[in-house]
Amino acid sequence: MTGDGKLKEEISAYMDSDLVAEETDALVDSLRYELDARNDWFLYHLTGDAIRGQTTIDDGFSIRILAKLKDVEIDPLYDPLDNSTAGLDLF
Amino acid sequence: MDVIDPDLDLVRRTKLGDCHAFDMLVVRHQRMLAHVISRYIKSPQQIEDVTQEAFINAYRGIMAFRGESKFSSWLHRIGVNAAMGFLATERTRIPLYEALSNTKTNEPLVPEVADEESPERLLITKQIGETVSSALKKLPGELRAAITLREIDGLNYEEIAKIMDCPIGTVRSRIFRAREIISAALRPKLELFRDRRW
Repeated sequence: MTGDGKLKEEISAYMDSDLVAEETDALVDSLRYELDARNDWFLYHLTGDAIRGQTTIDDGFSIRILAKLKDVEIDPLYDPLDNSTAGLDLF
Repeated sequence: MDVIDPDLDLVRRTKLGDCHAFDMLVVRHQRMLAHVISRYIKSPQQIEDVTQEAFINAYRGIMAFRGESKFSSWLHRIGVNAAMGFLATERTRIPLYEALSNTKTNEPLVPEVADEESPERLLITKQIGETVSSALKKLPGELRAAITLREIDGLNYEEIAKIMDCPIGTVRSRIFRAREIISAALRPKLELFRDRRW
């Protein structure tokens, strides 16, 4: 199998919880920096969702979320399931 | 050696400040979450807005996720909360006469939202579904069985290996090959739709 093929198979295995911890750092770096790897991550998930009949969100959705996340900070005191800590309207 | 749950791994990385790891979680769960929210809200634009809100709430409150439930279950509950919050806000916008008529019929005060699904968006969604379905049907039987047991039945590799009476490594390879073949069928369609939202 080529290096590219090995990376693709690792992406598929990682999706399904079949990759050991030692292999994940390099894989996640590839998914962060390599467009082809990121496209495979996207396509393999789209494939699974389509098999289950779920194809509702468009392909730019995660990019728009990522753009919004730049203005959001992780709040250690905020629990999204606890109404008493909810309230900040981000939209 | 222990295998890694990708959700727990990506949550751990997000907690360490890696927002790209959260982006990978979004790609992984966006359609599931939108599907959950679409049970409560009809308009595609509003589904997307509420799905975005749910993901941002999840990101902001990621420290509250301690792995006591599956990440997808936690996200599911955040999505339902976001949908309920949206409907509550919409309800306050219903004119009084509509609220009164609803009270008379004892119907829940869920606003009627126009279905804004565009014909183009419907067509693209349909074509993606048809492409995947067609590619799935053309797969060799052992690949089709492996990917179906994984994606439809949610079995892990060990369970699939027992059912198919083969090594786990073979299951891993079959599922990967099935994904590659289906993805190859999808790629030209996605190129075609590149400049359009779907």
